[in-house]
Order: sequence, then C-alpha cells, then structure tokens
Amino acid sequence: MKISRSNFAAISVTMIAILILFQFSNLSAIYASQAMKNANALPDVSITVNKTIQAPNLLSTSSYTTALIGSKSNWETMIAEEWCVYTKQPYYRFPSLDAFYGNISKNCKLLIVNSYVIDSSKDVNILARMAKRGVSIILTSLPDISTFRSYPKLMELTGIRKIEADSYYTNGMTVYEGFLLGGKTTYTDLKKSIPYFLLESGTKTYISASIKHQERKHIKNEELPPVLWRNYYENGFVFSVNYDFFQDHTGLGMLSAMLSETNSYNLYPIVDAQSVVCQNFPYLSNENSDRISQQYFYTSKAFCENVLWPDVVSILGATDDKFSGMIAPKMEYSSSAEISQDAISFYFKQAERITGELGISGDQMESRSFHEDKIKYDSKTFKQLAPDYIFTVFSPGSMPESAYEGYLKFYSKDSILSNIQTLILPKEHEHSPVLSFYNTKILAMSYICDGFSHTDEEDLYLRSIETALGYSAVSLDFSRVLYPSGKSDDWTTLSRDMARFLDTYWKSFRKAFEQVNISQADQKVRKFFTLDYSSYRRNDTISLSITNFDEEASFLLDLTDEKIVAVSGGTFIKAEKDKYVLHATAKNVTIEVTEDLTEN
Amino acid sequence: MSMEARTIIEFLQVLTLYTVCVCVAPYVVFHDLLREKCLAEKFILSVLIGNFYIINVVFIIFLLHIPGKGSLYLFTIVPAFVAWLRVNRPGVREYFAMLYTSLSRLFLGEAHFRTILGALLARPKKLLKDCFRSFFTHIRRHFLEWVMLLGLIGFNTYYYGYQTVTKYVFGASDLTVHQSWINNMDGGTIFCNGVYPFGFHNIIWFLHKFFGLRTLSILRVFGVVETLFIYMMIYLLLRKLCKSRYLPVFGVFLFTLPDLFDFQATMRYQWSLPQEFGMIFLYPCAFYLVQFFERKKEEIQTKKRLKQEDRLYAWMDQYHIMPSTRSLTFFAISFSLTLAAHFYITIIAFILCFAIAISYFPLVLHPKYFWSIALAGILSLFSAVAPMGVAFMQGVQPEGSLKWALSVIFPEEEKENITDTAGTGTSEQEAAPGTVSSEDGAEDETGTGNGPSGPENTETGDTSANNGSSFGNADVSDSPNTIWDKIKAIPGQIKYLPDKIVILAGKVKRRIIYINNAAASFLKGAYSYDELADYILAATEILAVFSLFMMFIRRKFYYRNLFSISLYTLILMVMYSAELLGLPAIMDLTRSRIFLAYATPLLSACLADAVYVVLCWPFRYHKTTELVPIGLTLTLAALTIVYDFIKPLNILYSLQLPGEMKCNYDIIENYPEKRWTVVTTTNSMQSLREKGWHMEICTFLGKMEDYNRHTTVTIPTKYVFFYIEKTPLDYGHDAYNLVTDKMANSGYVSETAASEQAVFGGSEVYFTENRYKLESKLYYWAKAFQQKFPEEFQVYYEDESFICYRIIQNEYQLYNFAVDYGFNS
Repeated sequence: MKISRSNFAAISVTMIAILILFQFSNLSAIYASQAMKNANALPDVSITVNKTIQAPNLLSTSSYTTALIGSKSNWETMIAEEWCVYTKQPYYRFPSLDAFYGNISKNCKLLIVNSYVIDSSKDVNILARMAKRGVSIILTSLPDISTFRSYPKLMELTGIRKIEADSYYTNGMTVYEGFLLGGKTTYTDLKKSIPYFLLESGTKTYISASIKHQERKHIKNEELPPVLWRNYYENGFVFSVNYDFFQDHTGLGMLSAMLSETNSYNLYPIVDAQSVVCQNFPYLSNENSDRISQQYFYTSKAFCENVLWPDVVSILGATDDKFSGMIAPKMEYSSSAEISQDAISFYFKQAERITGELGISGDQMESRSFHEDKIKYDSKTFKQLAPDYIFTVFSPGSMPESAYEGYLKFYSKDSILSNIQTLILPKEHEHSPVLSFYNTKILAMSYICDGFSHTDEEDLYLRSIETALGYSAVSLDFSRVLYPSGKSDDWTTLSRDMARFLDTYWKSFRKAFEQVNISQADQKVRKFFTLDYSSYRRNDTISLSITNFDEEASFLLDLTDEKIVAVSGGTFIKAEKDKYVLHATAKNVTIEVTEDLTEN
Repeated sequence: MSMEARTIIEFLQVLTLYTVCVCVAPYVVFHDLLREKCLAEKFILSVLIGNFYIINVVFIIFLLHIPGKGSLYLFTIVPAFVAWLRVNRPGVREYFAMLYTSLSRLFLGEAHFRTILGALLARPKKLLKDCFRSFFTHIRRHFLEWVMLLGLIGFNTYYYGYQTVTKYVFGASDLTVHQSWINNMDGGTIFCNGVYPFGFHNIIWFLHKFFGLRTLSILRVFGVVETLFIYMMIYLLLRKLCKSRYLPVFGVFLFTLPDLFDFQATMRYQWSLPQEFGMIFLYPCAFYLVQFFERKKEEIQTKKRLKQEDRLYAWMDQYHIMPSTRSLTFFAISFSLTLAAHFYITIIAFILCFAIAISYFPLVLHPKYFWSIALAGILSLFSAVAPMGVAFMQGVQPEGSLKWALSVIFPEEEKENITDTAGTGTSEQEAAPGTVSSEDGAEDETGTGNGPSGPENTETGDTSANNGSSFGNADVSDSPNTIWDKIKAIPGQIKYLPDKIVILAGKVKRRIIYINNAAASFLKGAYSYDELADYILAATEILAVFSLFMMFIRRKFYYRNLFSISLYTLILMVMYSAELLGLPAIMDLTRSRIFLAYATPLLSACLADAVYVVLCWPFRYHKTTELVPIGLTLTLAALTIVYDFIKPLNILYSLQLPGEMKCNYDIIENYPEKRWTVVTTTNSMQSLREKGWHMEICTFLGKMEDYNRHTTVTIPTKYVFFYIEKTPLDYGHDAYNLVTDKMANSGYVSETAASEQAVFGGSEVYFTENRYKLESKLYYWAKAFQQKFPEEFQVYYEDESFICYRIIQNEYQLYNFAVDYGFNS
C-alpha cells in the first residue's frame, strides 16, 4: 500500500500541529508563571484598625444594650467583651451589680454576669428585678453551692428546684440540637465534677451532663445534671452555665446561641471563612534526613516533595480546602545545610498550580536564641532566591513575640516580615482574642484546631467558634512529621487522621461557610470588623440594614422552627435546621421566613 | 388546599370508588347475566352483589385472622376474577383463542401487527361502543326522568353535604365509636367491643385499606354517598310499584325538596352511620319479594300451560336457576345485608316483608311460595348471622348496644341507660316528643277509664300489669274473681246484654276515634306541620281501603303492592305510637320517626299512582297521560320554590369545632407518623390515632391539679399540640345546632370557670359544664406556659372559637408541662 505525497504531508502537518499544541500549553504556563510573586499581596492594606468597629467604639455608658458585670481582668468578662465586639453590641462593663443598678440603660436587654459578683441578697434582688423588667441574664458560671443555699431566691431565679449533690462526677455531656452549630453531640470525654441540680418546670436545658449507669439508677433524661439551661423568671430569661466553658473561647459561641434563645430570630455578622494552614510546610531544606530515611526511606527533601506534597494536595483536593502553606526554610539554623533554588522553584510553582498561598513560619527546632538568626537568615535567603515574593502572612508558631514584634511594629524594610499583613497565632495564645488587630495594619487570627487531633474539648471549641464567627483555621504542624518523636508522629497515621478529621468534623461547616486561604480570610475578617448593622422583624419579614458595607457581608440567622423563603439583597445557605448563612450583596436585605416543619 | 375544596374532592373520590366497587365492578363481573335486565335492576343487583361481596370478603379475612392488604387484594380480586371468567366463559375463551391464533399468526409472519391489534381490540371496542350507545339511548329515552332525578340528587348532595363541606366535622357522636371500631380493624381486630353488625364498618375499612383512603376522610363524606343510594332506592322501588314512569320521581321529590318532615327524621342522613347504610338494602327487599311473587305466578302459569302442551322440560332447560328463585336469592341477599348493617333495619325489613306477605295473603301461604320464602329468610338470616356466630364461638361477647336494643323493646327488663354504641356517652334516647299526646291519653283515660297506661303507671314499676290492663279493664275491680263466680254471674247479666252491646259499641267507636286522634296527634312529631300528620294518616287509610277494595274487584298484584305499602306505613305508625297505644316499643321514637318518614314518599307516590290509575284508566296510560305526574311534580316543585317551602338546612351535633378538624388534617398530613401527640378531648381521638398519639385534657390537667414544684408532666413526642376550645362546646345533652349557626357552646372560657373544681375522669368528663371548666383551665394553662416558652410554644392555628398551640420538643430533654397557671395550686 502506498501513501500519496499529499497525504503524507497532511499527516505530518497534523502531527506537528498536535505536538505544538500540547507543548504550547506547558510552555506557556512556564513563561506566564507568576509563581515567584505573591498574588495575594496587596500594595497596601485597605482596611486598617481605625476603619473598623472595636471595643472603644462600642463602649457606651448610657445607651448600652449589654451590660457586663465583672472585673475587667476576669477572663469570663473578657470573653463576653470580645463577643460584644464581634456582634457589635453597645456594651458597658461594671465591676458589680450595685454599680450597674446605679446606671441602668433603658436600652439594656442583656446582662452577662460573672458568678463571683453575686454575694449578697441585694445582688440577687437586682438580678430578679432586672429579670422582671424583661432583661435576659446570662450567668457565665454559677456561684458556690453555699450561695444558693443562702439565697433561695437565686435558686428560684435560676430555676433550680433542688440541689441533688454539691459535686457530682459526670460521665460526659450532651449538647442538644439547635443550640450550637453541628447538631446534637454527645461528648464522653468531657468528664468533670459539677454541682447536680434538679430543675423546675419552665426551664429548658441545652447541655446536660451524662452519668454512669443512668438506667440502673432510674434517672430520667430530664433529671440528668444540667450544664447549661434557661429559666423563665417573671418576664425575663435567666441562663445558667454550670461548667467552665468561659475559661476559654468555648463560651463565645454559647453567648450567641443563648441570645438566639431569647428571640424569635437572631441575626449577627460572621466572618464566613474556613482555612487550613500547613505550618512548617513547604519545608525547603534537607535536615534530619537520617531519621527521615530511617522511617520513610527518603531524604527529608525527597520525602517532602514526593510524599508529603502529593498527599497534602490530594487530601485538601478531596475536601476542597484551600492550601495555605507556612514555609519553613530550615528547622535547624545551626546546621550548614543550604536551601536549594530547586526546592523553592518546585513548591512555589506547585502552590501556584493549586492556587495556594505561601506564608512564612516562625518555627525552628533549636533554642530560643536562634529565632533572631532565623528571621535574618530567612530574609537574606529569600532576598537572594525569591526576591520578588512578598510574604504577607506570618505564623510565628513557637517563636516568642519578643523575637518578631520589632520586625512587625517598626517596619524594617529589609526583613522578610516587613510586609506582613496577617499574623496567625496559636490557639488560645496568651488569652488573645480569636480575631483582633495586632497593630493598626496587621490582623491577628488564631488557629482554632489542630488538624492532626480532634478531642471532645476541641470539637466543642470548634463548634462554639463556628457558631459565633463562622470561622475556623486548622493548623497542620508538619514539624511533627519532619521531626517525629514516636509512632504517633508517623505520616501514615497523621495523614489518615488529617483526612479523617477534615472530612468528618468540618463537613457541615464546609457546606455552610466558604473555604478560603489565609489572605482571603484576612480580607473577610477586616470587612467583618468594619461593618455595623441593625435588624428588625415585622411578622414574617426580617429587615437587615448594614452600614460600612463593602461588597459583601455574611451573617448567621438563627430562627425558631422557621425557614427562609426568599431573600432580597442577598443569598442564603441553610447550614442546618433553623440556622442560615446569609450573604448580603446590598446594604439593605429583606428576608422572608415561614414555618418550617421539616425534621432537618 | 382549603377544607371545603378538600371535602368536595374527598366526597367525589369516595363516591367514585364506592360506585366502582358496588356498581361498576359487579356489573363487569356479571355482565353476561345482567345484560338482559333493565337499568334499574342492573343497578340494584350490582349494589346488592357488590356490598354483599365486600362485606363478606372482609368478614372472611378477619375470621381467618389474616387481615392485611395482601389478603384483602387476594380475596377480593381472585374470586371476582374467577367469577368473571366463569360467567363470561364463552366470550373469554373465544377471546383467548383469538389471542393465541393472532399471536401465532404474528410470529409466523402471516399477519401484520396492526391487523392483529385491530382484531384483538375489536371486542373491547365493541363492548365500549355498546355501552356508550345503550347509555345515550337510555338518556335520550329517559331524558326528563334523568333531569328531574339528577336535579333532586344534586339538591340532596347539597343538602346533606352542606354540613360536611362547611363545618368539616363529624356531626354525630356515634361516629367516633364507629371510627374506633374501624381503626381497631386496622390493628387486626374485628368486633373489638363485642359482636355487632359490622357490614358498614367492613365497607369503610375496605375502602380505606383497598384504596388507601383515610378512614377519617371516608367517614366524613360517606354519609352523603350512602344517602344518594338510599334516595335512589326509593325511586327504584317506586318504579317497580307504580304504573306511572314519573310518579317515582314525585316520590323522591317529596322526600327531597319540601319541608314536610321533622328535622330529626332526616338529620342522620348527613352522617355516616350503620343504620343509614343499612337503609340502602331495605327497599330492595321489597323489590325482590314483589318480583318473586310476580315471577312465581308467571312461572306457575307458564308451567301449567306448557305442561298441558307437553313442552315443560324444553322450557325449563333454558334456566339453570328459575327467575323466581333468583329474585328470592336477591331478596335473601338484601335481607341479610340489612342484618349485616344494623338490627333496626332488619326489624323494618321484617315489617315491610310482613306487610307484603299480608297483602299477598292467602297466596303467601301456598306451599310453593311459603317454603321458598321461609327458606330464603332462614338462609339470609344465617348468612348475616354466621360471621357474628363464628366470632361469638371464637369467644367474642355481644356488643353492649344489643342489650340496649333489647332494653328499648323490653324496658322493664333493662333499666340501665346503655348507649347505642358503647363509649359515646350520648345515646339518642331522648324524652318522647309526644308528651302532649300522652297527656291527652291520660285525660282520655280519666274520662273513659280505658286509656293506655300513662307515664305515671310506668313509674310504679309494674309495667307489664299496666300494659295488660291498658284496654277495657276499667271494671276489673268489680268483676268476678274466679271462673265459677263468672259462670254464676252469667244468667244475671244476660238481661243487661243489649245495653252492654250498646255500651261496647260506643266504647269501640270512641276507641277508634280516640286512637285516630291520638295517633294523628302523636304523629305530629314526625312531620314538620301538625296538619300534615292528619293528612298522612288519612292518606294511608284511604290507600289501604282503596287498595283493599280494588284487591277484591280486580285481582291484580298492583293493588296488593299498594296495599302492602299502606299497611307497611300503618305498622310504622303503630310502631311510632307504640308507647301511646300501650304496646311494647320495638324502637325508640327518634329511630322509628326516620323510617316513618322514609316510608312517606312511598305512600304518597303510591296514592298518587292509584289516583293516576283511576283517572287515566280510560286513556290506557299513554305517554300523554304521563303529563299528569310530570305536571304534578313540576308544579309542586315550582310552588315549593316560589313559596319558599324548601326543607331548611338541618342540625348537627356539637362534637367538634371546624378548626379542630382542620388541625387534625394538617397534623396528620404534615407531621411524621407517631412523632406527635395532641392534647384534646376524646372527640378527635380516633381520627388522630391513625397516625399519632392522643392525650386527654382531663389526664393532662389532672396530673398538675395539685401543683407543687415537684409536679412533672411530660409527653414523650417531638411535637405536641394542644387543642383548646375558646368557646367550649355544649357537649353531652341536646347539643344540637343548625348547620348554619355556630356550634352550640357555653360561651367564652373564663377565669371563673377555670377556678372552679372540675372533674378529671368519668364518662361525663367532657359534658357541658365540666368541659367548660376544663377548657377554661387549659386555656389559662396555655397562657402561663406560653409566658415561659414564648418562642417555643406557638399558636399553630386560631379562629374565633378554637386555638391550637404547638411546641417542638427536644426528645432527649422533654419539657415539664406542669406549671402553676393560677388555678391549680
């Protein structure tokens, strides 16, 4: 069989064309790559602290809606104050109930009280009078049992019928559906001794403790030790918290949830950002190779590039999470190992391909004295190897604030930290707020969870923060993988846990909230801090008016056995029964609601 | 969807499905046998066969202890299919042979698919075409009849459906009990309260199970459906009895449009009740008994003639079953259906048959007639009693209302006030409306010394003695004590004989006048106008005398039939006046009034027909003579409308508020099964039991009556509803009100009523006064509870007289509903 010349020419041309077309896409990607530049780095920060609504803006002596009763330094009061800032509640802090009673605002709707301020019948009477006036009262913790015994009216106020036991060792607790986001959950590890009360009728329990051998003891569910409940007294609601939720930010979401229980609806702003941050990854050096090769038969560098990177990308791809990597150039700054250009090139390009974001980590495995050296070394190295890349996100990790604060505050132009806009702090770092401004320009956000572990306590914390802010930042610390200290640090185990946890515990939140990288989260938080709002309800219509509206704003709408039918000026996503995430696209939003008979 | 629209749709659904089951399906199955019959007979036959079949299928599957959807389908469809195959065997066999041939030809390539399809569809097409043709031919020929009949049916649908469509509720307290029995059938138990005629319940259960309709929906509208059938039966029987084609319509008209009857005589037709259901089969008994006499006579004459001609066996060979036997069979079926539905209908059917038997005297005593009828009667009784007998043998005791029925007949034996249907707490035993008549009777007694025993006598507790002495025993104290004394006194008394005869004749005369007056007076309770009772009584007597007279002149069955109707009406009148006449009361007044009213259109139409026969005899009953009944009917209809003499809308019992029924539907349809509880009175209990749970108000409030801080009342379902009557119903005694009015109530709930001590148990717990207190308490409880749970405890539905609250619970942490509402501590 012969082939004609013309056919031969046509076939050849086609083959060449196909070859060029395939190669072209690759070549064009290489030539058009902006991997060595940070796409998220803005020339300047548009929203600084003075454009936002912070505590000083909300403090009001005469027209506050929320009164915080407790010492300024008290952790419970601080949490409540933080909550007021997030929910834009005009508030005022009073050291005692007496002080508050002398300066009652006519707008006051909510009283958040520390237990220790209740120490006289006068205090109890003030609380009773406030309840009678229709003010809702939240006791962030309960006074001693002796106080209850001394003041029976306090028992009446809180809806306690009987003190069954002064201290009872509980076997966990159950958070019931409709209170926090995430539905009904039973925590078997949250065991603790708490006072055991029996409640009156007219009370509603949101969290109750579980006890051992409940059936054998013939104890009904309604008689289980209550942990968080509501009582109706005269004209107001009194919420009592019989647990130390307010010792950290676990109480934050509970405040929002409790406020929701006082009204037919509760509409409050949220951040609407879910981030996953890989701390100390990408890792650019080749240290600890002996240990790594002993465990994985790879050098550290090869292990990171050939095992960790594909695994991380595939896990995050499966959950649709955005990649935010806090680069660890080196972990041992005393060693002479150098960072290779190849590693930088590899990770930066790979990160660009998955539209990830890279920041800088502050961790290192050596003594405290090396932190200063790290910043200098990193600054020098990146100036040489990636001079165009501007780092805007910094996760100090174990680096003490003293080591980096100078670089952040005094704007050292030569430093790698000179353009930092976002600081990601460890969870509950020195009692710092979940979201705050580090200085006028830099926003500080906290990690919410460790991606490699998920205890009951962490879960409750996560659900509470999600309820309050619609925000989470999961930390995946790869120093554990690179410097394993035992079997539990094996990547096989950790990757399985990471995939499992991300896929399970965030599933419901992922449906409701947006998955973003850290810079996007930063922008959302800034806008969240900027906006103010007011809302009212007339029959089945809720009207929302937003001030300082900047393109978008997110809110959480908590209803009671109702559902959204239509929204004008925004869109909505059903997070779960009665709870909706509202995305406002205009300053004025109207929400039509109707009765909801569905189960979920 | 509004409740009005829903009710109309449900009515159409039930009407269609019931008609399909008892008319269309039997007609399809027995198509070949019914082909030759007239439409009237086709209808009656189908209704009888359909009902008989369904009732017995349900009995069988329950008595075999295999109740369920599968067995119901199996036992319903398979025998019907087999019967269809057998009855239509030649046609079916032919059809399948053709199908086989056609398919063979198709596969062999000898014919195209279209040709085969055409051949196969030819028969069904022809059947359909024939049906349509005969239908339109019939309509064309009977156009005016149909127009008049449909007009009357339309009015009846409006009249009896008005309450259901506008108020949505059950109008009679009995319904809840019947619903409970049907619900128990759902649970696999028949005769749950004891052996009782379950025909009606079987039909409802069948419709519910077979078609998946809700029992509540069927019971709400089935009353109207059965009433349409009852009215149709008047027409069909009159078609059998009357010479004129249009006077049957006149009969239906009299029972439909004008305001002739006491409201109690027609009120029960609004509701789905077994007695009214049984009335469907009452007139078919007469229809087939009369038909039997006609056919038997014809057969005897034919047999006689053919025997002489020696062609008897050739003639008999064409019948597998003789036509008269068939008539008797259907008479037996209809008689057995009356017993399967309600005992009272059987009593009335017996009276009707007795009247016919008297009319056909002495023919009825002829062995050829008598034994056939007796056998048919025994068989019909057996077939109706057999399921109940089997249940009895399986250990089920008779139901309480049987004892009640006996107590009505023999009041001295059973003084206890047993309700018609156990548990309703509201029997329909009411004070005899003929109190005036009784007084009249008593006055008469004083005058003559021969009056029937009055109420005072009954109070002595020696009723039997009084009954025995009620006629002509005024001189008992003076009369001799022993036979010997009597014999000795005879000679002495002979001389006074002429005087005594004169006195006796006077007494008899007075007695007749008295009875006539008393009966007419007593009958006034049955009709809406006093004069009407006199006219009806006179009409009955005239018809009786006329037909009796004609029976002697012309020995035609027609006059026997007329006489039977007049006699039937007279017996019903006697039965109605039994108490007055000192006879044992077989039935209480409210019931006998219904049957008397139901017989009146028969009587009126028959009398009119007698007049028509006499007047139009010279014209040989030509089509033109029909103008007389047409004109009569249309003129009376026009006068009724013009003078607004139309029957006013009826009454209903204050059992439920419309809002309650609305909520019942809403909750049943929108909330997950068995995840909700309704706290209310017992009136909706059976409706709710199908899908959810029910808690009585008295139980709920009773638990927190002496409230202290440790009182706990919990309800373990996610959703809890509270029905509160803001205007508590005047339930229990004579709580009837016009359907156009508000439900009879005790006024708005009040703090005073809430503060009063209420009863929290017993059979009269929801009767007027206590109900008012309980509803008031619940109202204030709801207010107190709502204060504590303003968002959770929501108003689910509210109108001016009813409010429904809903609360959604955390099933793991139930609310304690016990609160101090101000009237319970």
